[in-house]
Amino acid sequence: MLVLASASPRRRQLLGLLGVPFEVHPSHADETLDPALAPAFQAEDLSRRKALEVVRRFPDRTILAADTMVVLGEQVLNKPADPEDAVRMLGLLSGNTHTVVTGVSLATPAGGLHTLHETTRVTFAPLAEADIRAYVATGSPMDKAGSYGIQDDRGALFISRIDGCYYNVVGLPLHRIWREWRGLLALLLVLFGLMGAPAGIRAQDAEFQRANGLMEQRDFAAALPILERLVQRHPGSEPVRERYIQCLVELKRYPEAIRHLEGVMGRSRRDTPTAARLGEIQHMAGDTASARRTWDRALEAAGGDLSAYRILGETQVGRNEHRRALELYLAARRRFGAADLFVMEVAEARIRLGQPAEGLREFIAYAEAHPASANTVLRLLLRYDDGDLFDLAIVELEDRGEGIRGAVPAYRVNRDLLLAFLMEQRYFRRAYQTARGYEAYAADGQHPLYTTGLRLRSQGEYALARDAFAWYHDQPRHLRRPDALIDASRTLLQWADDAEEANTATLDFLAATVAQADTFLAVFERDHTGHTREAEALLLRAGIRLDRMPAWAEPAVRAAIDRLGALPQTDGVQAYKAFLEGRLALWQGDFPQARIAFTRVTRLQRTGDFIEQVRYFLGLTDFHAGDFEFATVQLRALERLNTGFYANDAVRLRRWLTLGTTGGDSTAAGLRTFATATWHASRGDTAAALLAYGRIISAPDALQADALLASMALLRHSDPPRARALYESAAPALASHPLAERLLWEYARLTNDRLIYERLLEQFPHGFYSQRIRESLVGS
Amino acid sequence: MDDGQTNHLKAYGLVFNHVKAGNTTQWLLNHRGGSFLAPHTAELERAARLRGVRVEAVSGADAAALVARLEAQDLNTAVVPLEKAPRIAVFTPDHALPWDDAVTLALTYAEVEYDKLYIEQILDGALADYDWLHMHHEDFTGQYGKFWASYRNEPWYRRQVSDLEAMAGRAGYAKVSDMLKGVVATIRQFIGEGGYLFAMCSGTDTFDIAAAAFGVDIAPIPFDGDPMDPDAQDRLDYEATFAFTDFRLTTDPAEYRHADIDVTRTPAELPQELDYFTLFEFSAKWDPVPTMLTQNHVSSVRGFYGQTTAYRKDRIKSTAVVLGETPGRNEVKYLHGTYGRGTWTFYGGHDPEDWTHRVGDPPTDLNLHPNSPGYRLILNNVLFPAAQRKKQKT
Repeated sequence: MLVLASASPRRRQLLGLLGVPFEVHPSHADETLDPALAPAFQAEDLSRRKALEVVRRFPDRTILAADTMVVLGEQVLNKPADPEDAVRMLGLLSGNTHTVVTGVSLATPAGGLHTLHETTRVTFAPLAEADIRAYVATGSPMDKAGSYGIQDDRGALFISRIDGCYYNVVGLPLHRIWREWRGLLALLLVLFGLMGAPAGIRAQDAEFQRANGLMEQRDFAAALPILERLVQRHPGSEPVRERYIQCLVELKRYPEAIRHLEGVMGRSRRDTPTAARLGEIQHMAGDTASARRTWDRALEAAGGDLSAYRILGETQVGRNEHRRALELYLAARRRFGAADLFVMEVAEARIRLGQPAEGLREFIAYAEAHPASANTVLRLLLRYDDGDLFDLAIVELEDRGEGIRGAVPAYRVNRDLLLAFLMEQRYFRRAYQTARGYEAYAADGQHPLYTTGLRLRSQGEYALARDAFAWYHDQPRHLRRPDALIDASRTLLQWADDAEEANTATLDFLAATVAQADTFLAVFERDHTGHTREAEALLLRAGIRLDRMPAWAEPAVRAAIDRLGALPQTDGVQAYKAFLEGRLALWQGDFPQARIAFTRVTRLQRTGDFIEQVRYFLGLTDFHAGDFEFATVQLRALERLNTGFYANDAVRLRRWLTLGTTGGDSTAAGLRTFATATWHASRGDTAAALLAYGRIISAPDALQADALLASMALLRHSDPPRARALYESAAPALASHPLAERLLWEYARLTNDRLIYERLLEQFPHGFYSQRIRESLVGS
Repeated sequence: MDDGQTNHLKAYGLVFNHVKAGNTTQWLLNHRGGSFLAPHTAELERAARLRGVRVEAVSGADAAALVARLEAQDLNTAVVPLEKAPRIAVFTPDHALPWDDAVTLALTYAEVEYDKLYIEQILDGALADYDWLHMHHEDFTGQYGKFWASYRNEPWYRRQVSDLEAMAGRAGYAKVSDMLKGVVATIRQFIGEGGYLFAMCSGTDTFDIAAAAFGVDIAPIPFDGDPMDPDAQDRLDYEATFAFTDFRLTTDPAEYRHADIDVTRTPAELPQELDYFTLFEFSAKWDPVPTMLTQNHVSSVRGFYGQTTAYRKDRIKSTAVVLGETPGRNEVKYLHGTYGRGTWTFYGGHDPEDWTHRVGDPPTDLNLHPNSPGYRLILNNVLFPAAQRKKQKT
C-alpha cells in the first residue's frame, strides 16, 4: 500500500481522489532549506528528504512525499510565525502574482526515487486590510505556506486568477503525478483491485512486482518474459498491457507491440489513448503513413470528444508532427466554434513550424480578446528571451494596433504589450512615441506616457523622460500636471548629477538644467496652490536654491517658508518648514537658531530619509559653528545608518573632524579655518571660501589635501586653469597623502588628458579609480 | 607569477598578444609560480600597466643569468620559448543558452581573440583554419544536456532541440545524435592531425561517450523519439575514447548525468570550504607539457561543480596523465593526453569561481577574480600550444 509522507489533511483528501489506497505516515525529515537552490529545487529536495526518511521506516512500501512553497519574486513565504506575520504575508500577496511550487517525490520498494515539481501562478486581487485581518482571525492561514488556502472560502475570494494546476496550489499536482507516474500508481491500483482489474493479479503477485522492479532498473529484456505471461493471464488489464507495450518498445520490438495494440483496438474503436499509442509506435517504427492513418481514424471514431483532440494533438507534437497537430487544433476550433481553443498549443506549434509571426499573432489576439490575460501572455513571451522574436512581436503589435486604434480594451492591451517589448529591446525613442500616441486612448486613471517617463528616467534616458513629463505639464488643465512638474524637475536634477559624475557636463549645461528644474517648480508654486504635493515642491525648490545656486538662495527660501506657513499645519508641513528655517539660519550663520530648528524637526518626525538629512545638517551646523565635539556626537547616530543617502557626507565630515582635532594643534585652528571655508562655500561665496582654503593649502596642515580638493571642486567649472595651477603647485608636497589618488583623479578630469589618466594608473595601479580608467582606456 | 602578481589572467592575454604580434617570449616554468620573460619595450610595459599586470624590469645580464640558472639540471625549472600564438576556436552555438562558458569568459577577460564555431562549420571543415579548440557545456550524445526532466517546457530548451533537429536535417543526418557523432569524429581527426583540444564540464565525458558509441543508439525515447539500442552498453567501443573506459551508461532519461564517469557527491557531503583539488608537480625539463598545464601560484585549487564535476579514477585510461585530483577521494579533476599528433585536456566542473553554477545564474565577473588559480589553468591551456614543441618523455 502507498504511504503518504505528509500530515496535511488537504493532501490526504487529494490523494483520495486518485483512488489509490494509502496510509498516512508523516515524515520527520530535517526541513532546513538550502538557500542556494532555486525554490523549485528546494521543494524537490525537501520532498526527496521527506520520502527517504519514511522509506527507512517502510522499506517495502511505495512512498509519496510533497512540499509546497509560495514564492513572491525572490522571496519564499513559509508558514506564518504568528497572526501579524500572516497579515504581513497577505499584504505582500495583495494585488500581486506569485508562484506556488510543489515538489513531489515517489520512492519505490525497488529503490527507485522519482521527483518532479509543478508550478502554478496565482494572482491576488488587491485586498483591504480589514479583509486580511478578518481572514487571519479565522485561524485558517496559520498552517499554510503563504498564509492562505486556495480551498478556503475567503482564500478563494482573494484570488483573481490562477495559471496552471489548481490542485498544485492545494498541495498535490494530481494531473502531473498521474501523467508522470501513472504506471507506478496503476500498479498499486491493480494490486488492490480498485480498477476492477480481472482476477488474478493481487498484492501478492510477486511476478508483476518483479517485472516492475526490473523495468525501473531499465532491464527490459528480463522483464519482458514475465509480462508476456501476465498479459496472457490478464488480457483485459490495462496496467499490465501498458507495461508490456513499454517493454516491447524499449526493446525496439515494434511489430509485436503494434500487433498487440491492433488486437486491442479491434475490441474498442473508440479507445483514443490506445489509438494514440498505436500511432506513436507505428511512427517510431518508421511507418509514418500508418501512424497518421491510425490517428485520423481515432479522431473520426471519437466524434465530438474534445479530449480526443487534446490526446491526439499531444501525441503528434511528441512525434514532431507539428503541422498535423496544428491542423488538428484548428479543426477543433472549427468543430467547436471556439476561436480561442488550444491557444497556447497553436501558438507554440506555429513557432516551432517556423511561423513565429503567426504564433505571436495567436498570443496577441488572445490577449487582446482577454485583457485580463495580458500579463500572462507577456510573461510567456518574455520567457523566450529572444531578441528576434521580440522584434517580430513589435512589428506584429504595431500592425495590429493600426487596425484597432481606439479607446477599447483590445487596443490598450496591444499598446501595453508593445511598450513592454520596446522597453525590453531598449527602443526608448519608439517607446516614448508609442506611449505618447497611446495616451489619448488610455483608460481613465491610466497615464501610459507618465509611466513610460518614469521607466525612461530609471534607464538614464533623461531627455526622453523630460519630454514625457512635458506632455503633461504643457497642458494647463491636465490632472497630472502638478506631478509632472515635480517629476520633470527631479529628472533634470538627476540628469545634471549624472552628467557631472560622468565628466560630460559643461557649466552651461549644468546651469541651464538646474535653472529649468527650478522653473518647473516655480510654475508649480504659481499654478497649483493647495495641491497635495505643494509642500514637497516647495521643499524641493528651496533645496535647489540652497544646494546649487546658494548665492541667490535667501529670498526663495524665505518665500518657501512663508508659503509653508500658510498651508494646513500637519506634522509633515511643520517639519518641512522647520527644516527650511534651519537651513536658512545655517546659510545666514545663525548657528544656534539653525540647531533649534533642526532639533524641532527631529521631534516632529522620527524616521525616514528626510530625518537622515536633518541629522546630517545638525552635525553640519555644529561643525560650521566650531562646536566640534557636538558635531562628532551628532554624526555618530548618522554613521550607524551606513547605507543611508547621507552616509558618505557624514563620513567625510567625520574625517575632517578627526583630522582637525587629532593633530598637534590643540586649538584646532586649522579646522576652524576649514569649517569657515566650507561655510562660505555652502553660501556660494566662492571668493571667501577660496581665501580660507588657500590659508590651509599654503601652510602645512592636516587638512591641506582636503582644502586643495575643495578648492579644485569650486573652480572646476568657473576657472579650470586656476584649478589646474593650484594642483600643480600644491600636489608635489602631497604625493604620499591618502588623498593623492583622488587629487590626481580630479586633475585628470580637469585636463581630460589620456596621459594624466595613464599616470594615475602608473602611480595607483590598484587604486579606487584604476578599474574605471582601464575600462575606458583598454575597454575591459 | 607568484602571489606578487597583481593580475595573473590578464598577464596571459598580454603574453599571448605579444607573441601573436611576432615577438618571442619565454615561459619560465616553475619560476615563481610560472613567469614570462620578454625583451623590454616601452609599449609592452605600458600595456601591462594599463591592465594592472605587474612586470619587473631586469637587466640583460640578469635575465641571461636567470635563464642559465633555470636551465641548470639541479632545479625543477625550465625555459620554454613561446613563438607562435595558436588560432583559437570555441565550439558554441550562436543562440543564447541560460549558462555561460568559463573559457570564453577567460579569453574575453584576457583579451585573447577567438572565433566561434558550431556544428555546421565543424562539419564543413572549418577546423582546418585553427590550432586550438575549446568546448564546454556540450552534450555530444544528443541528449541535450539531459535537461529534459527539469527544463523540457522552457523555451530555450525547446528552441535548442528544434534548432539542432533542423540542423541535422540540413546536414543529412536522421538524428541529432548521429550529427553530433559526426562532429566528434571530425574533432578526433583534427586532434589526430596535430590539433589541441581543451574541454570542460560535460564537453569532456559526453565527447568520449559519443566516441565510444559510433553506430550505437544510446539516446532514450525523450531525446530522439525512439528507444536506445537494448544492447547499447555491450556495444560501446572504449578503444575509441580519449580518456575514459569501462564506464556504464546512465539510461534513465530523467537522471542528470550521462554515465558513471562523473563523480556523485553532494554539497552536504563535501562542503565548499573542504572542496579543493591539488595539482601534480611534473619534471619541468622532461615533462614540459604537463608542467605548462599546471603552472600556478598555488598547489591546491578550490573545487567547483559542473554538470560533469570530476572523474572517477577507475574510469580513466592508464594512458591519460592526471594533472590534478581531489586528495583522499576517488576524483580526478584535470587530465591530459595525446592522440595522434595532437593533445587533449579535460577539466571537470563549470566555473572555477562559482562553486555551484546553475542554469540561469549570471556570468562570473572576472574583474573580481584577477588572480583566480582555477581560471589560470584554463589560460595555461591557451598558451601552451604557442610553446616550441619538444620531444616528450611521457
